[in-house]
Amino acid sequence: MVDIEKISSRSELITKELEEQLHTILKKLTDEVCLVCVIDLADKASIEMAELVRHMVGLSETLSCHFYEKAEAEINFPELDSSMLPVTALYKEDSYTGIAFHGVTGGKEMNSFVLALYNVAGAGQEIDKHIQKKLHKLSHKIEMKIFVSLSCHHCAQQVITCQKMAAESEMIEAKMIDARLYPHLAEEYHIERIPMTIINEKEVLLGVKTIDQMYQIIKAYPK
Amino acid sequence: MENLINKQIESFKVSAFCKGEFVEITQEDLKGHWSVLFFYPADFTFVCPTELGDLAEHYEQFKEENCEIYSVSEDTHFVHKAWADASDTIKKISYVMLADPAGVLAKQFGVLVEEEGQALRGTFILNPKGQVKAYEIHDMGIGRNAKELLRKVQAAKFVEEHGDQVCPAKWQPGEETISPSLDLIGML
Repeated sequence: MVDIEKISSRSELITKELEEQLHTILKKLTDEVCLVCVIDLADKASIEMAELVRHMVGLSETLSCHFYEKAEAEINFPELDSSMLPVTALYKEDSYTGIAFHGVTGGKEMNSFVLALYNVAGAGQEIDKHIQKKLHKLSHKIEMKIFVSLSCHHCAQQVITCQKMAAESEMIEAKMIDARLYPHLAEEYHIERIPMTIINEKEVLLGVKTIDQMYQIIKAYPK
Repeated sequence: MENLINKQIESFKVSAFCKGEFVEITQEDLKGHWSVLFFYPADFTFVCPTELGDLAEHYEQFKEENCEIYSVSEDTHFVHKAWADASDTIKKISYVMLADPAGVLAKQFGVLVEEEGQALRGTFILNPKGQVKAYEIHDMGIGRNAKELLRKVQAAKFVEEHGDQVCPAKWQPGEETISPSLDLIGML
């Protein structure tokens, strides 16, 4: 585990004004959630994300965080994809929630990050009971990779939708990926427009979908 | 200056040259698929065959996008044929070459230079309803790029199919992380 004191507890990305907003929202969290961050201490984005996480944890009574380097994370957290650092994942009662963020949750993605916490550790956003029941009954694994840009508000909305589904179902994993940080993936997946969501490495979706639309798509997997 | 975006193509009927034959084309032929109207000044000039040849080389890719190409000049369809007979580049063209000697189309799209009887290098992308969704107009000597035009057709199709809920991605390595902005009104 990375010595937490190596990470500043103040993030330059969190202004005084934002800190006040975050404090108000994070007060709504009731359950304990641990943010597991896999970082590269020599990487600027990793340090930015680690500082942001520490700063946010300091604003909440129910959040905690642990930092790991890649080699240790590959052994202890094989469920996380340590090939794209930094990665920050939400754990509740020592279990991975299926919600992860690859990159720094700056720009519009601060919205998805905060809502993911609210959906896992707080009352959570309202969801249609009918869809909720279907999501609880989902019996096959779904992995959603949502490629985003931090300046795209549509992207944050799609991340929020997918991660809300992950918060509802143990079978769903929803990973935000800042394509800017992983140019080889942008090339591999031919990402020219965002948000782009890839489901189980097969289905490619563009734009923003509703939870109902996403459910109609994922219920067919695997065929 | 009139903005032509979403302009509905008006009725017209012109002669055309296509794969060795003379045909008639009306506004109805441009509907039901994407169309590119590609105006150029005149047959038998130097830059034009370069552009039209470039377009011919990408024609299959345009067709894969359900997009038809219509080149247009103020020459007659007989001149188009003569040009095809005289030029290997033009002979290879399999898209439709519209003849607009009366300037009906060039006037409709605002590219006619009346004193010269020629059209500016205007490119108009029309959706399957015959509405202009993108266009560019160059002065006579400034050429165009078929690959870039194909990208624009793909982008226009994409926006039509997916609405505006996507952003074009332009990755710039080394960009700074954007400062967080929180806007959760009505979401909690």
